[in-house]
Amino acid sequence: MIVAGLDIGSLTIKAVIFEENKIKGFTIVPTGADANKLTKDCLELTLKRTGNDFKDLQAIVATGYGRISVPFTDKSITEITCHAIGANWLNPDTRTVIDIGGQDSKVISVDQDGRVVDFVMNDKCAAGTGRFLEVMANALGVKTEELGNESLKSKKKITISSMCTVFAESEVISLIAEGCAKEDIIRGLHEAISNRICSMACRLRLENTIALTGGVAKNIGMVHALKKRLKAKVYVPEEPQIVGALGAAIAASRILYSE
Amino acid sequence: MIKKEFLDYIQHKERIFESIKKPRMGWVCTYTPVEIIIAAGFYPYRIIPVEDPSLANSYLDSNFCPYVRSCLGEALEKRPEYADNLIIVNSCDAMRRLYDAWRHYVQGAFIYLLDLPRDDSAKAIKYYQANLQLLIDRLEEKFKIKISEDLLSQAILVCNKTRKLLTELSDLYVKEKISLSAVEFLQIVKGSMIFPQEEYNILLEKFLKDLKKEENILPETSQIKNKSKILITGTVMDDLSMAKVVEDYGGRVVFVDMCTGNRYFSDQSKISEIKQTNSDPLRVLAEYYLRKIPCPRMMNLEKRWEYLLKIIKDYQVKGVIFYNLKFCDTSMFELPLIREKLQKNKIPSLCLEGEFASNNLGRVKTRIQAFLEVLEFAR
Repeated sequence: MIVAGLDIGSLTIKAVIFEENKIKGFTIVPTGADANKLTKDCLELTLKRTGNDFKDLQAIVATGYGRISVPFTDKSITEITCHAIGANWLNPDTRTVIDIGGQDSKVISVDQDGRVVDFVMNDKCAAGTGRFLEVMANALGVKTEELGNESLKSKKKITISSMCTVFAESEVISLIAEGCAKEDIIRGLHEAISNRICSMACRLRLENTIALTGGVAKNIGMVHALKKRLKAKVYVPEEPQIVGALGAAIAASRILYSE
Repeated sequence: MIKKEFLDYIQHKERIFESIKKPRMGWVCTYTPVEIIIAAGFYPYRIIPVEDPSLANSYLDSNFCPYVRSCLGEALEKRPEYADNLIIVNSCDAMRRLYDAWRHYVQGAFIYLLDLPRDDSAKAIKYYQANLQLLIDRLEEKFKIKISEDLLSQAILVCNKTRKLLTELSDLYVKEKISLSAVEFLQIVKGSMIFPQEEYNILLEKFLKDLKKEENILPETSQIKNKSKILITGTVMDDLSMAKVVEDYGGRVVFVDMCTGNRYFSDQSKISEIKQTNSDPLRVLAEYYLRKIPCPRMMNLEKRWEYLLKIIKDYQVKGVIFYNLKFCDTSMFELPLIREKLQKNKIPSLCLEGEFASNNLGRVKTRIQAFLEVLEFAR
């Protein structure tokens, strides 16, 4: 039984092919204006990699904020439910999922079966998300994927007080002008985001293990800052970015089972 | 009367305003005794703004109740034809500031601030009754009119009728006996706040009569059993599309605990009390308003919890959505405690925050869909 999960996020599109309870292959591509076509391309690329054909797919579930606009899927499920399912499959001890994506972040309480018990999402603002980090990396002249390693070099603590993306950018620019080291600023940014995420997370009952998902979990500096702040058992999947798409794929296989 | 025709008619605010020649008296809080406004010969209408509050942003800070800012914004934009007169109830800080700002910036308007106690004790009722008398004195003096006991009793009967009709509609709606969506139900309730009451009663009565005709009553088999029953609780809801999203994703809104929903027309038992108009009408009014379904502002945590739990049991609610306008301390400060209690009772809940007259449905959609997925799994 071959199924696919698609996660159409604000910055990237993810496709996962799932067969007999195993991840057979996945692809991550950047989002563009024509999300429909890009999603189809992303899926086809993955199929090519796994040596399958579109016709082999027995069910497709879409998630992410573009989930409704894709026509060739069987069902759309929210990314909240999908991240819970995906994280539970990867690590059954997961009781909390912190997903930091491109344009929003969410904290999800999960039970032992991977069901969502409660959740919170950040409010209409890019603060504390992947987009925020992208803007800051740009202001600092660093590649987004280098932010993590850069911040680990930091020796001095700097507090960034603004969490508004626009204000934080000008704060960062002032810090550069004052001669602060790049790595210290980046660490400051990571700490500011993790403070924000934690205050949101504390609205739920935080239980171990906490899984970090979404693209931002690839940033080692961010993971460090969160670990320090959460003081909890943290689990980072090998590919945190595809957890939503994986959850969607698992949901697709469950649809088949229930039929 | 056909549903579509009725709904179109009651929602057309401009047309209603044009056709009514009586002087208007605006109100903003459901603790305003509309009966007194009617008895004074005015046409009472609730200010439910549709305008962007940008004009008001110069006078009230943006971390201020969005409803209040929108009310002021609309008044500044459309005065004088829109907001000649206004009664504000001292129900929260934001309302008091609306009173202050209105007095300064909406020039030439008649504005009155009515004080409201916080419980329904005998003393509180006496106090509120005295305040209602002060309002009457002021209206009589300002507009050179006489508000007699007879006029008040008549007005009470008119408003009772509206409440009775709305309660009847709500019963049919909850039992899914008629084809009426949550949005349509809320539009009808909203219509009763902006339409002249007497005429509205005639329209609604006719509409209800048609709805109850045998051919319009839905057979029981058509009721979808698998929907998660939802209670929406909070402040003011202007953007009804939220209720539509709940229904689109397979939920069923059974109770809207908001002052633009069920809280406005209260329940049947209270109505029969107010029917005995041979007693002092002001006393009847004071009792009714302090004992109707209360606003969170009127209750302490324990009382509010008991109240919500009763609705949850009575209506077999499976999930609670809290919908509050931003910065509403009165209804939000106790949310974490209420949510904790709900969790202990295994009732999932979702908190949504809104702006007034804004459209950020995209974010709300994901949350509501995810919430309904939680409820579906829990079943």
